[in-house]
Amino acid sequence: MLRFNPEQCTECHACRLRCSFVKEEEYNPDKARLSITGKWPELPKLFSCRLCKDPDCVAACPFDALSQNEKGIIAVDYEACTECGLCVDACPYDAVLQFKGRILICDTCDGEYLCTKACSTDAIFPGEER
Amino acid sequence: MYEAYNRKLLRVNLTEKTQVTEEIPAEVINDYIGGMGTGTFYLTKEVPPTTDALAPENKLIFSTGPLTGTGAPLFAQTALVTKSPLTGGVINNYCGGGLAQKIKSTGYDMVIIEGKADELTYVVVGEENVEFVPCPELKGKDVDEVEDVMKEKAGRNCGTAAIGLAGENRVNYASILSATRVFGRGGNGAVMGSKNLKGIAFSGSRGVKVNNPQLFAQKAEEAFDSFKKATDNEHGLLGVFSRFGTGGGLKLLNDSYVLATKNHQLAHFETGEKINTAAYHKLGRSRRVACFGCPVHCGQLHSFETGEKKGFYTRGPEYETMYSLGSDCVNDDPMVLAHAHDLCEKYGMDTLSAGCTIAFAMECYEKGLLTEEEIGFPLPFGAGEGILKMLELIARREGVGDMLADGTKRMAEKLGGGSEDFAMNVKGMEFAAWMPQRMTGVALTFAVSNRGACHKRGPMGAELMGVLPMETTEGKAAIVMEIQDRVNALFTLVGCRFADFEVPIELFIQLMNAATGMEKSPEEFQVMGERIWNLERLYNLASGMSAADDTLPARCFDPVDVRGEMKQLDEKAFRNLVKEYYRLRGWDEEGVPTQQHLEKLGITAHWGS
Repeated sequence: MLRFNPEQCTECHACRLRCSFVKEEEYNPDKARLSITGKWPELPKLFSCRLCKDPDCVAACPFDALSQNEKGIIAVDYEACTECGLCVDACPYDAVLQFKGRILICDTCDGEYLCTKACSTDAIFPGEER
Repeated sequence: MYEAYNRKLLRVNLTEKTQVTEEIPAEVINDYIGGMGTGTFYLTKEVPPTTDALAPENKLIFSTGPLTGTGAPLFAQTALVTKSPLTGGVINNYCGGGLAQKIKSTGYDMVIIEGKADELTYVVVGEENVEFVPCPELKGKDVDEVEDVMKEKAGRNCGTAAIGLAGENRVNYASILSATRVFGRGGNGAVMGSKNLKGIAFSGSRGVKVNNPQLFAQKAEEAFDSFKKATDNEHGLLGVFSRFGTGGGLKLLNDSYVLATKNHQLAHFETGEKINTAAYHKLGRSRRVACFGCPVHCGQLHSFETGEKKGFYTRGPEYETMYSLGSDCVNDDPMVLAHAHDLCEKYGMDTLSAGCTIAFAMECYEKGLLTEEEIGFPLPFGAGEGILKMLELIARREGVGDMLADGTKRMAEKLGGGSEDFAMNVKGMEFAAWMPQRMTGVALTFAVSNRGACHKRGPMGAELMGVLPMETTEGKAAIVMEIQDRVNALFTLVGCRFADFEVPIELFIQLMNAATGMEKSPEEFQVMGERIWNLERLYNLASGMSAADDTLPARCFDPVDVRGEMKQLDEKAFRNLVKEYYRLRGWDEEGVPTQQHLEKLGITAHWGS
């Protein structure tokens, strides 16, 4: 899963820009699959999918729109999804994001985590496989 | 073509409480790109040069560029163009952080604020609607509180710009703030205050698409790698900034005897090491922060964990503030400096002009031109408490603070007694942290800049690092002119001033072309910068400035002690340098752009047209 060192994060949001460009071919931090918030003197926090075992988001979906593969990655079936947001509420880590209703969950870029390549301070970095 | 643009501008009229959307014509984009360029184009066209800067007819133009909101690093800033109450001329300001992306996400490249609200108001700019919210209860409130109220209304994710008490009280150098970042110079906060506008929130969710995604990503990667390499070098300028913020440069300047001290009487601050960034690192926890998408991260957050100020936290002070409220006032107390910086943020004031004006008042006090009775307390150089008390008086325009709030030029006019010789300003704009006495390039830059004594477009870096000799005038006119035009061009993209320190400007032009589909050459780009410089000049002349304003206060020609040796800026050589500069610019002997030159650049005096 994606790891985070808040001491190193400069809150520049380059990771979110990169994510939106990779996934949507558009620069729009609000369409990223990860989120970072912070207000000094508090340290920033990262919100992104932790690839839970028995994930609450999948269980919460009444329409079977979410599924998890053997690597722990959650896939969204946008045909089945009604954008009800129950998965958003169910995630204990606030890591299921939404843009104008559309559910956004980190898919790890096949374990490559391309967002980390935009980080100038190595504050986010790929962690161990689940 | 023009994919990275919204191609729209929004007019918000506070008098009529109306909003109008207009398309930005292709020829305006082609000639002025965006940011400072389109901002200056519209301001000079629509606000007559003789307009009182604090009248409802003045406008505030927030302007982004084609690279705003994209993955191109160092294009996070917003340009703001208005007519300055401090200089009387057109002025452009830059604020970092995340504001520009938020403005662009509303679907507009520019937002033009017009008129005057009938009561204190804040405005929420959304993708569809503009909401005018009367807010008499926010009168006198600090910037932080105003931002919180606006976020409560418009959502935590919105971008904000707001003024504090200084803007409401029309302090001539009041600023507009966005979170901890600032549109610093020339009194734009007073313009906002004169419009009864307390704040603006920008709330949108639009992204930016580029013309050639693959090429753009490749070029953005190239720029990122160059900046990363530059910041990895701990001895390079950006490497120092990324570790210690802009204050990391203070030691080098002080050791080089170019740190303006004691109202520019000295070039070295004996105890300067007490107020540099390293000193702040010893007082508590610190963190690096960056503008939107920026790998240089030159911002420094400090929290204080010892002594009576435990629990206090701040972003900064930056290098320029270490000069203005530090060395120039002979203040070597880092806590006083941090608090002075914080008061300026709270009330929304330019730390440069505020510090420089207090340093001037300190010298007036020591020379007997201002008495303790008039001030209310003693104000010798080095009076830490005096600095803090004076900042309060300025923001409130109380007592002698009312005079200081007008800036050094107007103060000297009132005080007389030869004080104009050491009122450190050009065209009313107080000096940035550099010494014309020591550097001829700085001398020319301060004297002829359209913004007054401004440090944004000068060869100080090259003069400091020994790339250019500090003390000779040879070749300096051409160098200053080239930088002014190049930086103006960079500011149409709203690039950070640090962007071309390490990365050649050609790469940014390639990014612009890949984002927009335009095919600008480096030569066209440079000429565009020149076009804007001349347009500003023409406007400033029409506003009442003349060649007589392209000068420096007499102190700049006094000898200054450099390690025991007295050094001096030769006044005659300086005057010749200004003349040479006019000639190279294609201006006549009175500093007026010739008709022939204006035709070559394709500009006319278009105000009122």
